[in-house]
Amino acid sequence: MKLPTWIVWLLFPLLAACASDSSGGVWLVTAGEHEITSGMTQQSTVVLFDGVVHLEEGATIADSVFILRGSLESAGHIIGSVEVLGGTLKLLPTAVVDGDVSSGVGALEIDPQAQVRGEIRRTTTLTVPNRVLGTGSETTDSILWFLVQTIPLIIFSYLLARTMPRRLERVCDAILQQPMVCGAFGVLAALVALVAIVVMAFTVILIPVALLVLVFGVIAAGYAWSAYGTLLGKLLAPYLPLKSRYPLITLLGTFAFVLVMTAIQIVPVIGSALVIAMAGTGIGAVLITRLGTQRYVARSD
Amino acid sequence: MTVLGLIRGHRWPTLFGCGLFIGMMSVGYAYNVTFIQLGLIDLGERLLGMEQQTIAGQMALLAICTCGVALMTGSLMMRSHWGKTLAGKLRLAWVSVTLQTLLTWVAPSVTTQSAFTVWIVAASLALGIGVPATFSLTVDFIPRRARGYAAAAITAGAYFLAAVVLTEWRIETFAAQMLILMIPGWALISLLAFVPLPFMRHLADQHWQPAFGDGRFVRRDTAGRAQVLRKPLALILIMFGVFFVDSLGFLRLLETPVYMNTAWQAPDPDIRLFIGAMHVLGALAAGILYTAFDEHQLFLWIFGIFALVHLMYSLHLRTAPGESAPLAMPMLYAIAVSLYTVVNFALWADISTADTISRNTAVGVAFSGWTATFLSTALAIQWQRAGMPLETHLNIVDSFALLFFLALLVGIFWKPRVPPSEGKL
Repeated sequence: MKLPTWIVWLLFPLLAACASDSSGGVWLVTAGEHEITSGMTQQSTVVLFDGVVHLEEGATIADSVFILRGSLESAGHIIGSVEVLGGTLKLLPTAVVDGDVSSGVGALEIDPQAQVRGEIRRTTTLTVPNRVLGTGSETTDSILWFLVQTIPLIIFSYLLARTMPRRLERVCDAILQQPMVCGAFGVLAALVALVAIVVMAFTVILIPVALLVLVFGVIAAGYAWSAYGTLLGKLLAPYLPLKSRYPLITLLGTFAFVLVMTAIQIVPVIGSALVIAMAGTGIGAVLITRLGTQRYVARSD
Repeated sequence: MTVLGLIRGHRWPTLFGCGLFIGMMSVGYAYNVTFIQLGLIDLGERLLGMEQQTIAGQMALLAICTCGVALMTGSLMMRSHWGKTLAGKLRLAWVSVTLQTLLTWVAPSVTTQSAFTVWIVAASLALGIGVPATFSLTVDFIPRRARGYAAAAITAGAYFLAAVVLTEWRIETFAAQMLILMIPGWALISLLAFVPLPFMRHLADQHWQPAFGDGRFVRRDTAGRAQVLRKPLALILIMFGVFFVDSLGFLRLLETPVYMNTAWQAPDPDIRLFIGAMHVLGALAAGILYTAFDEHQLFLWIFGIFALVHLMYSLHLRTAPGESAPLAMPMLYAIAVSLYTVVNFALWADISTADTISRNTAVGVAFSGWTATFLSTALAIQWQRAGMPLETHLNIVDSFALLFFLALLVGIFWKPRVPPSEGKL
């Protein structure tokens, strides 16, 4: 077993080692109705993803509160600040908030008798554009967004083909010769990696590692798409005046492949499933060839 | 040798054999993970009003008797001529299926604890005969190269059935649903075991072919003696670890409504379908990877995923106790379970020859599967009675998973160059 695989395997114990500490710093509410009754103190930060939390008079939240969805109805004491990013905050007459109350797109219902010792900040409703580049025209936005995603990818594929053509070829060979093995490995690795990234983010201390895994995943996906691009480029090459220009073939192939994938995604259910299967196979090929550094040879009896 | 290759070669008897084996083992395994593991607990608790500890004792009796019967049957099969012929194996399988069908039919009518004990002993006899008899059919029906895929099909079928169809965990429902599958199965196996059909003669000779008889980790020396390229004891220990980690964690999760009611016993059929689909996906991936890589790769995946998923449950208990769990948790759990089940179905045949498979399977399944399940059941009940919190319980399971994971890493790194054994366990 070579070094890169060892590093991946060693992430598991690193992750699980975090299980030994049983002190919790965040109370995450995702659903249901919850009550913090009089005399009780919730020590940890409260993050409300959904659901309802009632804080009775005489009850305390000793830290800050973040409301993303759902609602918090407080008649008690919040020692930290409250950020209402979505959902509703309702402060009843006996409620006390020591920190600030900030509201984004969330709703605030503050009784005049409630005490907020910090500032109350209300920002106007945020308008989130459905595209990063808002030009006013949906078609133009879509085209620009497509280019924003595709141009870095085709530049990456060009550089890859120019600097490491053999590695790219090994990935292409694995896709062509062992698509099932690549698919199985890639789907399994991607599923576990996605979950592991989220888990690592929750441990807080492993956020840098989660980011590293994420970056590696993006590179692997770009590598996979470049390999598909090379394969498609080779198919198209006889019809193009680029027969001996490998990097250009890869570049054009990758661009064509992204176009094809975008078109396929329009087909409901099957389109997305096909793209996921292709991505899994490509990522699997990148992983089992160790980023193209080794040729994958199928086991023989 | 692929399915397409068999179709192109018009090898219909071989295809029939593959289909028969996959179907039989799928239903058998689904029976084991639903009727035996969940149905008997319901029978004891709800219908007979037994205490949890008494039921655990009965389950231990089942495990010990089954181990004993399986070991005896496996050894006898290896030493006797009838244990090596297809007809002999099919007749033993018929005895097991007949007994299990009758026991399934009468199970909801059991009304006393003593009748329950008699039922348990009879069931252990059926299971103990069934395991070596049915597993040893692998060398007759499934070509070596296709064993990973066959194991994947068995696992996918069994868990999809268990997760999507057999969802009401009551003994009466289990019995009614299982009998629908078991009665036609019994009729078919009666026909194959006792009526001399011409195509069965072809299947009976298949284990003589090199592509069928010897497992993947078996080589013949120049004198024709079989040599096993793996250490069977190490494999038994690793599989013991897998079963132990799974059962120890799952038995406690089973008692935690918030995790069961939002996943395996969710009222929403989409969730159960999702879990069933994940089992299928995990099984297919395992089948392909088992065929393509060394089994160590899969063991690392299995322990790694178990460690990760128990960490997720621990984190969930800390951050959102009482909340419904994210589906990623049962998803990963289902994938890990499918991965190891595939290995369990393929591995014992792959360290065996046609002569040794009945004994090797009996030893492998008895000492890894049942012993681990029995020990983990006893331990889980003991911890629960002692008032151990769920989070601590899952942390310990996580530690076991990690321990096996690291031991495996060390084992792979420190792999000694040993001469192959003489095919002995």
